[in-house]
Amino acid sequence: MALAFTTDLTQPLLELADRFSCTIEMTTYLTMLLVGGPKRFFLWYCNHSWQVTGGETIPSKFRSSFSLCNDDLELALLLARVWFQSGSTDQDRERWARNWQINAKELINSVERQRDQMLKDLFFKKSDDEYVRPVDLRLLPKVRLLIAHHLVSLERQGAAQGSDQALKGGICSATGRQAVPIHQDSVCHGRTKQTFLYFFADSLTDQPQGRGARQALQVIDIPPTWLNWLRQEERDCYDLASFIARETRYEDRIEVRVDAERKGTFLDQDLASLFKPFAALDRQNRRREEVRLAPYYGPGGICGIDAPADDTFHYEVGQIYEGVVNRIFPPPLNYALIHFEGGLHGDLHLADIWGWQRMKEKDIRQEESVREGKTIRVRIKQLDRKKKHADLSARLPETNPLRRFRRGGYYPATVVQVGPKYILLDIHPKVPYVRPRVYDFRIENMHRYFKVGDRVVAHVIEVDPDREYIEVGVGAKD
Amino acid sequence: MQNPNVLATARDRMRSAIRQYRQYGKGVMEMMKEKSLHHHMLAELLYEFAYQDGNEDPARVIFLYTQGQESMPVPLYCLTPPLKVSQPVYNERPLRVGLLSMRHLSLDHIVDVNWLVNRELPQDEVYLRKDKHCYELTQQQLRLLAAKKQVRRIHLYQTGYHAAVIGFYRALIEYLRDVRAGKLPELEVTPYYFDSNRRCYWEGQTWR
Repeated sequence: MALAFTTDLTQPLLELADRFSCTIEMTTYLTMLLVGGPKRFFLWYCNHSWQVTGGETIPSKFRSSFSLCNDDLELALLLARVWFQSGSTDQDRERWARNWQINAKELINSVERQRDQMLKDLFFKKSDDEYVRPVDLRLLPKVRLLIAHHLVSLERQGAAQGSDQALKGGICSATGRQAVPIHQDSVCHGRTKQTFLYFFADSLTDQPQGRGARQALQVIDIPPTWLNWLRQEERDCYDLASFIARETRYEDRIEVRVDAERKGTFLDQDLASLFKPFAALDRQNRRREEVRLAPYYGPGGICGIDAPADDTFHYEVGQIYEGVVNRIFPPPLNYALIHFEGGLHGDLHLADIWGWQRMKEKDIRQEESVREGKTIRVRIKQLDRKKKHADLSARLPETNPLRRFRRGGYYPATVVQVGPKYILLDIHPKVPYVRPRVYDFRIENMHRYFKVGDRVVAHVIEVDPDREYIEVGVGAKD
Repeated sequence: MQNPNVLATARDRMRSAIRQYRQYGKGVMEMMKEKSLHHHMLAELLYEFAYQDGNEDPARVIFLYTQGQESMPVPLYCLTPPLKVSQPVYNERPLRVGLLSMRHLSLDHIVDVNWLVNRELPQDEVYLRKDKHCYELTQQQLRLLAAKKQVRRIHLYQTGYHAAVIGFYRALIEYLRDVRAGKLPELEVTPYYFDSNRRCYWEGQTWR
């Protein structure tokens, strides 16, 4: 069924968006619509057959990246989102836009200005900083539903006729195998959709009307089940709210599949990376890649409560976990690879078992606790969440050898190194060598009093197992 | 977030307002004296005083906005204490409601619908008119939701604006009073308060 009607959609849609908390998205889309739809911002946009003024054709791969957007609404909001994040200053954004042949001036002067004006009317004594936030793509389904709801209610009222300054639009749906042709000016051109909503945005622009005038058709993809539900009976805002709560999913990350060709002029990788939704960014052309838009968590952005929580990755630095020894690397590498649940892997070096000073005399293969396939308790020293990699230590608090020592106690020790003004003592196999205080101010040359291998009694001056700190003193032998 | 000194002072002022009410028939509490009472403290304070505590008789307190404007009287000590439960009574998914639209856009993706729309509030400086408007709308919507839509759990994302807070909770207290009288179906409202410093929400006491 196709229905065409003419009425002003802007005001009622804004009111709905205000009630349902998607004002930024709705105003962005409506302002883009007012200047002729999102595709008008691409400088090489020319006509329906994709012919640029100079006679060149828009690269098919680049063009095809549009068709991967579900509908025109998605294209508009993606463009606005990427534009917002393309730089912190207007100059940065313009540089970005120039590289992607996007009409930055139009975006700033038409879209942003009109959107600000619309928002200003909606706000009550608010500063710009408080309401400026990037477009949130998680609200896409909500915006779609609201537009559908309004069109259906208009359809029910018998397509009320409005003023001259109006958007024309309607609802098209196909039954069975019958395909619905989609206008070539839409991002959905060439695809078959069962149900969609459409607007002709050109009546609101300054484009010449009549023969040859551009018909900027906007298509919004809407699931048939939603449309059926909306058509069943008149829905009020709490029906819609319950439906939104039930049906639309708020995903932390929107994944966009992109298939596009990197244009020869876009060699700057950094700049190119800013335009992810529409271009493949690899050095090799014609590469399909998956792009993830991370949520924006800056000032005025998405608040902390909804920061994406990765339930499978609960590891924290400083905590102790059990892992399985996956592989052992013999000297000179002397470390073991440990695997944990959730995909984390880490390196346990011999130095983190015995201390670095005993590396020469030890071999990880002789360690009883480190055997392939065996479970081992380790502490995470450093963690790279992105790579899911950790640096590990087997020196655990409960097995800390320094807990054997008491402040003021006397313990046997061995001299392992003697310098002109210092000596090093071995007080325990798992404690690094310590440099003691020598209780004799007359000593000028340690070699006179100490030899390597001497057994001495060390006096513990200070010990703090938590910090792995010990200070000892030793008397000079006569 | 909650400064215990400010809350303790507010609690004392509330008690003295209740004493005033008992003595003279009108109890008034200033919200903006010394340090202002934040919206989340106001809500928590109302929760503390809405439920009966021992043998206290019901009271009514008027809140003072800036410039000495008075709010609608809010009934206190009029609800029997709710049952202590650690889990939500109803397992169904709550309706996530923002108290007022266009206040904090950062919670747009969290809420399903806004309780009050910013543009519909009276645009003058008279707070009494605003809290009355919020009260009437809340009363109407609570009844509609509970009776017709069968919504039994609401998560209220509260972002400030004292007139809206007072209007909402006054209507909620009256609704819960009617629930106890068996006139209306039960409802559970859990407020979530926006913390602008940490940019997060913390859960308030559940009204039921």
